[in-house]
Amino acid sequence: MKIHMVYLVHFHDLAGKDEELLELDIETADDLIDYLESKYPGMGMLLRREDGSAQPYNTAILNRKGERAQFIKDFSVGLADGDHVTLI
Amino acid sequence: MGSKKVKAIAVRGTKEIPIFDPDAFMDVYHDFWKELSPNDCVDIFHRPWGVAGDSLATDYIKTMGGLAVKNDQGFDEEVPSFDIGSATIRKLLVRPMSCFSCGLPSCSQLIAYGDTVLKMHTGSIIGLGSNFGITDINAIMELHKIWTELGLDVSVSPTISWTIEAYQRGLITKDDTDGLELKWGDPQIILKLVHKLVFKEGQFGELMAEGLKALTEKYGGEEFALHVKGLDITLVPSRSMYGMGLAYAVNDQGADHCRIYPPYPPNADAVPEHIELPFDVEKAAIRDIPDEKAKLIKWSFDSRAVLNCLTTCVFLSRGKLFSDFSYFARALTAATGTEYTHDELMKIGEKICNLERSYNVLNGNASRKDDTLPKRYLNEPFKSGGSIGMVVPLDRMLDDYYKARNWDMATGRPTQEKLLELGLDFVVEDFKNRGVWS
Ligand code: SF4
Repeated sequence: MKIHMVYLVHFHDLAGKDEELLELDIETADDLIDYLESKYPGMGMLLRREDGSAQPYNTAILNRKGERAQFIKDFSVGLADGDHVTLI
Repeated sequence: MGSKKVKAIAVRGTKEIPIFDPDAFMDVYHDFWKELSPNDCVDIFHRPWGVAGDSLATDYIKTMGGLAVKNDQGFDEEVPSFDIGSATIRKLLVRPMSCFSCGLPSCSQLIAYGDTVLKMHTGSIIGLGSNFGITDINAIMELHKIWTELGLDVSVSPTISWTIEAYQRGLITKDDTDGLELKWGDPQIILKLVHKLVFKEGQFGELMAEGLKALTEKYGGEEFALHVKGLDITLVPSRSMYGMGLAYAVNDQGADHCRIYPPYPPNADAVPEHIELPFDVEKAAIRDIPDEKAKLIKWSFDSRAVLNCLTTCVFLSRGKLFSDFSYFARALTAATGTEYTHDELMKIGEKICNLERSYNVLNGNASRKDDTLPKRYLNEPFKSGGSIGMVVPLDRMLDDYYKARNWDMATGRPTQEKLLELGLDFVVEDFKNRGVWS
C-alpha cells in the first residue's frame, strides 16, 4: 500500500525531509512504526513506549479520504492504501 | 480616556515587592521549572512547541481539517495548496523567542523578512493567509509587517474576509467600496481594505472600523459574519473542535480563545492521583463528540480565571500544572502569607465566572440567546477533508453547560442557589431588586 507521510519538527529532523510517499507491504500502524524505526533510527521511540502504548509527547494523525482525521492512539489500527499519516 | 485622547497611564514603583516567605516561594518556583522542563512535562505540544513555536498549530489545524479558508467557508480542494506551516517558518527562522523569564523555549519565532525580522505567529499565517486565500509566505509577511505597524491584531481578519465574501454574494458592490473590485488571494486588495478600515476612509471605511456587527446591520450577511457577541473570531477553529465552539459561545467576552487555553483537556498521564477532574479526560479529548465538553469548558473557564488573576500565562499551564493548582496555591501562599489550596483556587475561579456572568446579565448581553456562534458554524458542515460533516452541536452542549454550572436552562442566568453557594449574596440582592428572576 502507498502511505503519504508528513514529518514535522523532531520527525522532520530525523527524516531530513518534510514528506515522502512510502510503498509498503504492511497492515497496521505498528508495522509502519517498525518500518520507520528501521529507516530512521530513533523515530519509533518518539511515537511508541516500550509497552507498545502511545508516547504522550508526540502525535500521529491519520487522514483517510472521506473520513475525519483522528489521532492514532492504538497502534494496532489498520492502515489502508492512500492514507496520510502526519507525525508531530 | 478616549475622549481625552489618553492612550495609556504608566505607573512606576520604586520599592521592592515584599515576599512573605521567600524560601517557600523559591521552592515552588523551582518546582514550576522542573515540571515545565521538556524532559518531564507530559503535554503533546510542549516539546514540539519548544522547537517550532506556535506555527505548528497551523500544521495541526490543517491536518485536522479545520483551517479557515476564505472567510472560513469550509475545507475545500484548495487547502492542500496552502502548505505554510512550521516547516516553512523553520526555514526562515532567525531565532526562537519567548516572553521574559518564560519556561517555554519559543512560543513565537523571529523570522527573516528582507533586511528586517518579524515575530511570526500562527494567527498571522491563518488570519492573513488562508482566510484571505493567500498562499504566498512573502505576501503574508508583508501583511503581517503592515498589520504590526498599524497596531492591528488578527481579529480584524474576519471583518475583511466578510467584506470580500459579501461582495462576491452581491450584498455590497463597487458603489460601496469606492470602486474597489474585491476578490480572494490578492494582497493589494487586502491592503486597500485595511487602509479604509484603519483610516476610516469614506462611509464604507467608517463602517468597517465599527466592525462586523455594524456592517451586517447595514448590509445583511450575518450568517457568514465570524463574530461572537460582536468580537471577531481569532480563527482558532471551533467547527472542527466542539469544545472550542462551546467556549466561544458561552464566553461573556465573545470569541476570545485565550479564556480556555490550552483548548484540550489535560493528558491523563499528567493528572496527579490526588486530583479529581470533574470530567472524563478521554471523552473530553475527542473533538467531534459533544460528550463531556460542557464540564471540560466549565472547568477550563474556572481554572483559567484563576491564572488570569494571578497574571500568569494560561499557555504555560501544562503537564501537571494544567490540572494541579496546588503549585499556584503554594506560590500565592508563600507570596502573601495567606493560606490557599487547590480546591480554594478552583472555587475562586468559579466565583469569578459567576460574578462576570451576573454583571453581564445585569447589563443585557448574557443569555441563552446571546450564547451562540456564527451561523456558518452551526449550519454549514465541512464538505471534505479531515473534519468532514462537522458542525457545532451547540444546543445540546449549552444544556449540558448550564446544567454543569447550575444556571437556568432557559435563560442561561445564574440561579439563586448557585450564587448563595458561592457567597455572592450581594448579587442575589441586586438580581432581586432588579427583577432578574421574576
Ligand atoms: S507560554 Fe506564555 S509567557 Fe511563555 S512565551 Fe508563550 S505567551 Fe509568553
